[in-house]
Order: sequence, then structure tokens, then C-alpha cells
Amino acid sequence: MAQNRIETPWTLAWRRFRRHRMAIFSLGIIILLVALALSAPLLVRLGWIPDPNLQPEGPNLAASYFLPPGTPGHPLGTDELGRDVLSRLIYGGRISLLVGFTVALSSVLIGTLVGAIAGYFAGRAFLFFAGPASPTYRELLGRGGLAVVLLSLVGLGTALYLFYRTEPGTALLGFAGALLAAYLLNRLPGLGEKLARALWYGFSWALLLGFAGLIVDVARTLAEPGMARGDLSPIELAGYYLAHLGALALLAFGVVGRIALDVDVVISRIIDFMLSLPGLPILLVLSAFMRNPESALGKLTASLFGEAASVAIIILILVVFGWITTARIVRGLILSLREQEFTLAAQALGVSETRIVFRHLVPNAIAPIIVDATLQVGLAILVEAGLSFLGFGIQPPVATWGNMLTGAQDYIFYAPHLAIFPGLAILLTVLAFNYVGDGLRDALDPRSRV
Amino acid sequence: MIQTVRKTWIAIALTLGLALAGPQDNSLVVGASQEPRVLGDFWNFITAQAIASEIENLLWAGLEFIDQDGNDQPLLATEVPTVQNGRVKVTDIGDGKKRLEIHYTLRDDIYWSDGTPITSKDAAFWFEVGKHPGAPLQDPTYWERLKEVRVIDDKNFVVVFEPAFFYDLVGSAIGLAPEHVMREAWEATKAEIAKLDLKKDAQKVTDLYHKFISSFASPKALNQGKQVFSGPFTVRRWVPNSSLELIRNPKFHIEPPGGADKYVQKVVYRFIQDTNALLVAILGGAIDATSSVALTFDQARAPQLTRRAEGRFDIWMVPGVIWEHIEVNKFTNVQSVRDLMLDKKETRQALTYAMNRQGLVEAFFQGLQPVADTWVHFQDPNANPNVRKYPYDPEKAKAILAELGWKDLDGDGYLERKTEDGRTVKFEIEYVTTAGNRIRERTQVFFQNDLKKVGIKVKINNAPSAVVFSHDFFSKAYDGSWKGLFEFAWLFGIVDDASVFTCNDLITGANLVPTPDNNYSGVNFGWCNDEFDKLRAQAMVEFDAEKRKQLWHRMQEIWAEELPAIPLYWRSNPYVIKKGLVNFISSTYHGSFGYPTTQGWLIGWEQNGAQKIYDQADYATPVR
Amino acid sequence: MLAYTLRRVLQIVPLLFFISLVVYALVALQPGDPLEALIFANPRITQEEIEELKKAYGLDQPIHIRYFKWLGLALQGDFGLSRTYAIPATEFIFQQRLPMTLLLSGTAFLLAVVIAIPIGVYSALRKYSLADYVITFLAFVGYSTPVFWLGIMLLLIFAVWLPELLGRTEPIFPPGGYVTPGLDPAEVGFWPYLKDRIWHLVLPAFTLSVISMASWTRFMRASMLEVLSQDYVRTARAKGLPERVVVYKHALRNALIPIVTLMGLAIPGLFSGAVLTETIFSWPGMGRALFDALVEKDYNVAMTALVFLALLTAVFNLLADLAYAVVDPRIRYR
Repeated sequence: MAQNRIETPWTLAWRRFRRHRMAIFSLGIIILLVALALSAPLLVRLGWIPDPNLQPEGPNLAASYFLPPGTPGHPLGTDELGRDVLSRLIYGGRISLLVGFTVALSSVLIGTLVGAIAGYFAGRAFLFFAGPASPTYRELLGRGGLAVVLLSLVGLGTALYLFYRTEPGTALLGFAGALLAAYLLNRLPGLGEKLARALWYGFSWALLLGFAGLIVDVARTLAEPGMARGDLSPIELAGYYLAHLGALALLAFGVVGRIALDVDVVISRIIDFMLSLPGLPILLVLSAFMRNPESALGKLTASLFGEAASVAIIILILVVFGWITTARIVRGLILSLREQEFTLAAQALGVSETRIVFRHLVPNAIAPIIVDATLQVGLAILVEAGLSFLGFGIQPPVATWGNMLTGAQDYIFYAPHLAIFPGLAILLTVLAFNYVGDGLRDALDPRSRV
Repeated sequence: MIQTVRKTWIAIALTLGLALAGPQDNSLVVGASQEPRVLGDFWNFITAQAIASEIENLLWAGLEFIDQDGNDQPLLATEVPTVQNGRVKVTDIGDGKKRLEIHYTLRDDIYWSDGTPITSKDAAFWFEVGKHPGAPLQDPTYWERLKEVRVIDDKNFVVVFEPAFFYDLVGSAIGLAPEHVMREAWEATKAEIAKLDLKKDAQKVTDLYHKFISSFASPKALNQGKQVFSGPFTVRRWVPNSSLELIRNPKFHIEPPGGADKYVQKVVYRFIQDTNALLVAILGGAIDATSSVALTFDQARAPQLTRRAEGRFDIWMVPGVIWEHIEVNKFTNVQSVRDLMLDKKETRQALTYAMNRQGLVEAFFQGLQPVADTWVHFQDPNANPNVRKYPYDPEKAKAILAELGWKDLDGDGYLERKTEDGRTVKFEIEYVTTAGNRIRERTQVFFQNDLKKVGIKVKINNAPSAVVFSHDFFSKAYDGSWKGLFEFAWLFGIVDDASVFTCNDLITGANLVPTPDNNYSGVNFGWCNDEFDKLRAQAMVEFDAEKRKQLWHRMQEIWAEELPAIPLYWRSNPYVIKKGLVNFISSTYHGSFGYPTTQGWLIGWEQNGAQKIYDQADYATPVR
Repeated sequence: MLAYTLRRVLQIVPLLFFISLVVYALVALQPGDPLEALIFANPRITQEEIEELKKAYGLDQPIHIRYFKWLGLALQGDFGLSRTYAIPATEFIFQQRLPMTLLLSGTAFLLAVVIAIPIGVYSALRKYSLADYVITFLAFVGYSTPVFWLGIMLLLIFAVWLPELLGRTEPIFPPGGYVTPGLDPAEVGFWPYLKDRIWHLVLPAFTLSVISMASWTRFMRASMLEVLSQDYVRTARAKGLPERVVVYKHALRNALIPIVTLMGLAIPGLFSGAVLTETIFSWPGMGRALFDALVEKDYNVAMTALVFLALLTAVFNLLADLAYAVVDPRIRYR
């Protein structure tokens, strides 16, 4: 459709971008870094750089540690184990860039998805819970019969098993699995949607049951010492019975009631919640928690990624916090875009909602998303380095710029080069991404003109 | 502008000058990289920190102390109780168990810093608090065996252990706490505890004990003068995160040769968390000596320090009691243990021959951390110097491995063998240690290279210490949580009882091999030797030092032959000490763990007339 | 507006509840527990004895029970004892660590404000000049620098290289701590003591301020440029008002509004301390306390600090939103 003479927005943007000299220069640096990172194993094979984990051998080992920069064969010197700093720097770059790109990409994808859903479905409630005797469920029963009941029971059973027989990490995984199953069922033609809802309601019953059980359990355990002594204060006693009553009421409601939730409200609350968490401390806690080899999550990552498990974990926790900014931006944009004429037109034409969101609305919000993604790369690299520096990030022997700096402070008196180079590498990379982000912002801003 | 800046510097330098007077005002400034949380937690209810013990040595005297050569010396007691002087009574109570009654007599000239005499009541009080139900004890078995402190009169009391072990006679059998100061708060705490249900409210009870301690031992309490002292020094001021100032206790009973005024009158501990900053402070001359918790081994050898030490400082390396070693999983129900035959002593011997331990300590430590032959320190009076040793000998290692059936079948440079059930297995062994510990990581790679030369592939599997030392990882070797080698350290004080390598404790009947049967108790990862266990059971209740030494010698022979673990080296503690400072000496067992403050009353400056009684050179190696 | 404010204030309550719940779960589910170190202090200890001690520290109960017990006490103002210091966690956090953190981050904050605003304004007024380019470049470098690396570099320069170059044994600036240990104001007098404290503050405060300095400079420049292109500024100029009055009376005031909001949002960060900066300079503040508490599994201290920080963040988020509404009449709240 586009005619040759008319420039697409992209070529226009590219022309604007080219005028930002620092951004172009930075883009060059990034391309160089990526090329270096990708070719690192090749460089090792060609013998241009030694293996990053290769340690010297021979009788006088002590003489090969802490070699200063400029030593023949080691242009940037060697570290406390006699390993080549340049090679480790290049290999560290692989990890840093991997973390940066993966985190930025995943956060932006998740953020866009969540933000778009929140923005588009704001004000429309989703049926979160429907009791077995509620009108909604009866209606569902009337059309599906036995299959619906069976699937609900499957959902109920699985969820109860997850709550009572496993520890939190597994339960979380199971919960995610159930959501996925419901979603996949929903995609099936015919009965699919109905069965998905049946499964979900079964699951939600378990949530309610579990919640009621928790109330009673907590009340009992808290009251136990007092009851054993027989001197429960009136308030405690009242609380104890109130908790039981509450749980009963909840169950009664659970039979006939239904709960509808506005997705936008839920997501907004989650975002508020995430924003109120003190950042770095929580990242520390999260990192240690996820690496716990006793939990299913820890076992899973360890078995999937082996030595690189800590890399996967870092990526995961950075994404946990990374999607928020994107989600907020996208939600705001979609909220206004969905009121515009072209959306209304699409709705009137009967275009499916998924299509409206992803073919009509999201592309219109793409510019800020791209800028955000670029800046997130730099941020992710910085945060990863900080966490690794504190020992909560990527673990040796995998070399990263952050964990190369961990020990460097100990040797600052006689091997300052160990501290200088990794830091410079981080600085250079993050700087490059920030400049490119800046360039993109200018280039994609419709207000700026060529 | 520049002028004023320079003036500021001069002013600061002057103030520093005042603060670092050292010999001029007969004070001592000690630099430490850790700070105690509390001082005077006589029961270790809260924590047991090395830095706290070191400083407590200056503040509170025990019944006895362990001198620089590892011998008991009386301090508050008139003499060290022994069988020979009739103060120790051993009774056989059957089942190979003994009951021990130790009679202590307190000196007549000992006082708390407020002038109250130190009496048997203080011993009885200490016993009463520790024995009270619900106390959060970190060493419950000790308190279980400590049956009674029987007061005879103000200066005499008898301590009863049942079942008793030889180490009950090493050092002070019990502690003391100032009854006249702490009684009131204790009665109040006791009353509070009585209101609670020990089982259900265990946590509240613990909190009460902690509050009781911190009301005397926290910086605030000490600054308010809530506590009294029995050692050569008392607390003057404690500024958390900065410094602790101690001044001489005039009530202390020992008069050093030439009079107390010839010795250090004030000790200031400076807490500088960052060891680089500490190093800078030492270089700047603001520190007279370092604590046992100060510089790292590498920092003490930094050229910046050694270059400038000439004529100003002595730098010493004192062999410590921390035993760096590689634990071997010997549980045959773990597949890879069976495959690699780690349960066979020949395999472990081959591994040890193949690892150049001497080369390691030369390359990394200039030989300043000595290679270990067994788990018993060479300075220990019970050490057996004639055990089997394993010098670096890759050829011998290869020969042993070949004999065990290992051969490089596929030509990849690593050994393989056919197992009984017909599989071909490669000699690939897992090597676990604490991630982030640079020296261990260096060691690991060093040995990885060594083992590669004999055809053994090492798979490194490190994790942070919180992970590798968690119960589910550390103790569950039986389930294969770790499958091959695990490098870490044990601290073996002078009271070590070989429980780390005991399979069956024949006295208590406990099994110390962590398996599901005993709920994973113990730290012996699958080495059972009947003779070793029997000898240990005898030695544990042998109160005659000479006879015990015989038993201990034989145990070391067995150990060195069987090699349940691969001994690496003994860690050394660095000390930087200004020239002229005397008797601030550390040795392997001084005050049990090498604390240089153990005989604090003797610390002084030679220029001020203090007599040099001990020579650090007898107990340490200088760093050049 | 009032209804909106009330609703937002009320929302903080469930928010805090969930935060405390999640944080408690994360903290309590850390690998290892505080008692595992006991094995190393005493290999003879049996598993039964450890279980006994777990009971003594309340670690034997399931996590949700522990949480509600904690919550019950916390609602009564009892945040428990620090396990390692045996003093109330609140005393440890609020009396010992918070003041130190406020001193450091407050100084860094002021430093950033004092430097960022004039430089940002200058940069905007000299748009596209060489100075502007240099400032822009430095600002980019500023927020691309890893804080901890900057700290290490400053240490290297001022405590190792410069002294060596000048042949001194004393560092130019101290490599850590908040005061020369043992320095007593009663002995040396107030002024030398104060100088010593300031001397210790220089490197950490500068390190901590760099990022905010850099980003606020950029924001100030952008905001100033935005305002300068507005009609009322053009009108003011057209009226023939002197440039000084236009810039400082009309433009600057308005340009400051978004910056002030931004700074308001940075306030909770002042309290949370800076784990990295405090670690490098051995500064005994909140960030370091929290880090140590997590490493040593001092749950009560960690919880007290984290919940306090979450409360602060929530309150300041709310205040920033409200401030926005007051300042910007275009925003309406329902």
C-alpha cells in the first residue's frame, strides 16, 4: 500500500536518529560489544585470548597472579587466580549483555501485555469466583453436565494438593500451571471455553477453602497456649470464635456467592504494591530465596541451567521488577487510545478483542515502549552488577562484570587494575544504551521534526 | 582556599596525633575488623563471637587460663585442680562412664571492680542461671553433664560432671558471674519466666534471657556502669561502630613485674569493619597492634604493608586452630560414591597423593600456613609426628588408581572403569565449596589441575555458604546432596574430642554418622572404624594426660592410614604489632584460641619499663 | 479531593498488610536458618538439641503462624528483639542506624540539589553550547556509573594513589567509617571533632549523590527548556522585562515544580540507605543493617526495617500524587 515516495514512520525516525551523533556512536559501541560477546568462544579457539577460566600451571604459581596490565600475553593483566582479565571481561560482557537484553525484552513483553490488558479491560469485571450453587455455575452445569463437574473437581483437588502437600515455591508453580491449563482449554474449539471456566471455578473453590482453613488454623494456633493454660482473655476468646464464625460465613458465601474483579484494579493494586517495596533489599531477599536449593523453584532452575542457574535467577528477579514501568506506560496509553475513533470503529466492525489490542492499540504505543526497552537494558546491567558485587547475584565461576568487582576491593592495594576495568566496561555499556535510548526518544517523538 | 584546606588537615593530623599517643601515655590501640555485640554474656545466651572472647579476656578473669604453651594456669583459683593434688576425684559409674568432682579454692585477694570480694556465690550464681529451665543454651550437652556446683564455704566449691570427659579438666570448668550485681535482675527475670509456659512460650522465655543479658552487657548498659569486672581492665566508654576504651582495673590481683604503672594503662579497641581501611589506619600509625579478628591473610602480606613495616612493625603469622580440609562422601548408597569407590581408603590415598598440598601452601601462602597431616594440630601436646604422610606423588597416585581398575579407556585423558554391573564410569568427581571465598576457589582450581594430571576430572559445584552449610545440603550427604569432595574448615580447639570422626560414641551410645535413622545428626560422613571409636571412648574418660596421649597417638595413626578426609593446611592468623609492645602475644592455644589478650596484665611498652616475658618469635613466623 | 485523599490513606492499610506478609514470607523462607551456624561452633551438637533451640527461637512453627504472631505483636508496637544484639529491633533501627543513614543520605541529597539545580538551569540557558554538551555528557556518565565502582575508584584515588603520589602515609580522605575511632569530642574539642566527621562524610556522600545529581540536572534542564518556550515567558520578554527577572522570577519558579515532586519521591530512598555505598565505606547505616540482618537471619530487624521503608514509600507516593494534584490543575481525581 505504501508508496515509494512517502516515507514510512520508521525511515523518518531513522533519519532523525542519525542526526544524534552520540547515539550513533553509542550504537556502534553496542554493536561492537555484541560482536565481541558473540565471538568470544571463537576468539578463544583462534588463540587470540586465553580461556577465561584458565589458570596458570607450573612450579611458580604465585608469580602469575596479579600481573599488571601490559604483561605480554595479558594486555589487561591477570587476577587473583592468574586468569586473564581481558578474556574474563569479554566473557563477562556476554553475561551482562545477555542479562540486559533478556531482562529488557521479557519485561517489556510482560509489561506491554499486562499494561494492555489492564488498560483495555478497565471497568469491565472478570468473574473470579463462582460458588457451586451460584446461578453462574448452575448455568454452566446445564450446558456441560458431567464434564464440567469432573473438571471442577480436578481443579479443586489439584489446588488443595498444592496448598497442603507442597511448599510455597511448588504451589506457585502449580498455580501458574493451572492458569496456563485454563488458558489452553479456552483456546479449544467447542466446549473449550466452558471447560476452562469449570476448571478455574474448581480452582477458585480451593482458594476459598484454603483461605477459610487458614483463618481457623491461625486462630487455633494463636489461642493454643492460652487455652492450654485455661486463661484465655475475653478478647482472645472473642477473636477465636469470631475467626471460626468468619470462616463459616465465608464457606456459606462460597456455596452460593460469586466474586467479580476488575482486572485493571487488580493490576493497579499490584503495581502500587510493587512500587512500595524497597527495591534493592527486596532484590537481595528474592535472590537468596530463589536460589534456595530446598525449594522446588531452586531445584528447577538448578536442573535446567546447571552452572548458569544464578544467571537465570537474576534474569527472573529483574523481570519481576522490570515489567512495572512498561506496564504503567502502556496502560496509560491504551486507556486513552481505546476511547479513540479507530478503536470504536474496529469494535463496531466486530473485530476480536485480542486483535484490537495487539493489532490496533499496542502498535500505536510502540515508540515509548522501544525507548523504555533500551533504557531497561542499561538499568538491568547496572542492577545485576550491584547484586553480583554484593554476592547475591551471579555466582562464580561464571564471570560477570559485577562479580569480578566483588573481590577487587580486597586487592585494591596491589592490584587496582582488577577494580578499574570491569567498572569501566559497565560504565561504557550502560552509557551507550542510555545514549541510544536518548536518541530513540528524540527520533520517535512525533513532535520532533526532521 | 588551599591554605584553609591545609590548615584543616594539620588540625586533623594534630587531633590524630593526640589520639595515637601509644607509648607516650602508656596506652594501646588495637585495631579490629569486627565489633562485639555484647560483652559479658557469661553463658553465651546471645552469641559467641571471637572478638567478644578476646576483649572479655581483658575484662573478666576465669578460674584458670590456658597459657601460651597450651598448659592450664590458675588465675582466680589458687591452683589448677589435678588428680595428683587431690582436687580431682574420679568415680567409675559403670558403662564406661565416669563422674568427676573438681574442688576449686578461690584466692583470698580477688575482688570485683567495685570492691566486693569474689566468692563461691558467684560460681553458684553462674550455675543457677545456666541450669534454669528454658535457658537458650548453645552447648546443651555441657550443661546436661554439669550436675552440680556444691558450695563448701565462701572460697571453696566443688564442681560435679557426670558423665565426665577429659576436657572438663582443660581450662576453667565453669564460669563466674557477679551475683551481687546481677541477682536482682535475675530474680525479676525468673519471676517473669515462671508466669510462662516453657513449652508454648519458648520464644518469649528466650527473649527474657536475652533482655536479662543485654541489661548488663549492651554498650548502653556498660557505659552506664551496670556491670563489674574481675580482669585487668574495666570498660570506660563504648561508642558503638567506633571504639571501646578500657582502663586498668586497680582491684585486679596480679601485680606485673616492676609494678602495674610500668604497663599499659588504657586499651582502646578501634572497630574498622573494612579491612582495607584498617590497613590504611595501620600504615598511618594510628594502630599499635591488630586483634585476632583484623587483617586477612593476604592483606598482612601486602607489599604496601611489609615495605613500610621495617623498623616500625613486626608482622607475625601464628598457626591457628582452623583446619582446612576436604571432606569425602563415603556413603556407599550414593551411586557416584560406589562408582568412584570413595569408600575405599586406597581411593582417598590416591587423591591425596595426587594433590600437591605443599605446592599449594608455597604458591599461595609462601609456606606460612603449614600443611596438615591429620586433624590434630602439630602444636597440640597430643600430636603424633610419626603418622603416615602423603607427599605429592602423582606417579604413586596413578599406580594406586591403576590397581583399583582405573584406565583411560576412551583416550580423553580421564580415567574410566567397568563397574561390577557392567557400566563404564568416568572418574569425574564433584568438588563443592563456599562460593565467593577466593582462597578456597583458588585451592579448588589448583587441585583441579593436579587431579587432571592423574586422569581425574573435577566438577566444581559451589554455592554461597548459607546454601552449602544448610542442613539439607551439608548434613544430607547420605542422600547424595553432595557427592564427592567438600572443602571447608573445622575449628579444633585444645579441647577437641575427635567427635567429628567418631562413628559410634561408645559412651553416650549415639551414632554420629548423619543418616535418616538418627535424623541426620553428626558430621562424620560415613567412616566407621571400630578401633578408632574404642580408643576414643577410652581417651574420653582417661584423666591421666600421659596415658591419654598414647591413645591419641594410635588414633592419629589409624586416621592417617584411613584418611576419612583429606587434610589440607592449618590457617594462620596475622598479627601486626608495633615495635616495643611486649607480651601482647598470640600462640596457637593461648587462651584456647590464640587470643593475645589472655595475659592482659602483662601487656606494656618496653620504653616505659615493661618487661618482656614472652617472645612472639617462639610462637610464630615473621612475614618478610 | 478530600474523599480521594481519604480513600488513598485507607488503601495504605491493606497495602502494608500485604507487603508485610510477602516480605515476611520471603525473609523467613531464606535458605538456612540462624541456628545452622551452631554446628560449626560445636560439632557435637545433635539434631535434637538444634530442634530444641529452634523451639526457643520460635522457628519450629509453620510460617503463617509465625507471621500472625509477629503481626499481633507488631500491631501493639512490639517488633521483637534483635537476635544478634539482644536489644529491641526498633531501638537498633531507629536509634542506632537511622540517624547515621539520614546524615549520609541527607547530605548526599542536599549536595545533589545544590549542584543539580544551578547546573541544570545553566545548561538550559546555554542550550547547545560547549558547556551544555559537556554537562550533558557528564550527566549521562553520572547515571551510567555503577555506584559501588565509583566508591571503589574514589577510595583508590584518595586513599591509595594520591597519598602515594604525595608521599604521605595518611589518606587524603578516610577509606571508611563515620569518625576516626576513639576520637572523643570531650578531648579534642568540638570543632576538630566536627571536621573529622565531615572529613569522613565527603567520599560516601559524594558517591551516593552522583546518580540523583546527574538525573536531576537533566530534568532541570528539560523542565527549564519547556517553561522557556511557553507563551507567558514570551509575553514577559515581550513586555520588556529584564532577562534576569524573566528567567529567575517567572521561568525558574515554574520549572522547579516537577523537580520538587521528583525530589519528594526520592525521600523514602533517603531512609532506605544505600546498601552499596554503606558497604564500601563501612558506614553503619540502615542499608548495611538490613543487609547484615538478612545475612545473619536477624528476622526481627529485617522486618522492622522493611516494613518501615514500605510505609514511608507508600506515604510519599501518596504525597507526591497529592502534590501533583495541587500543583497541576489539569489533574482531577475522583
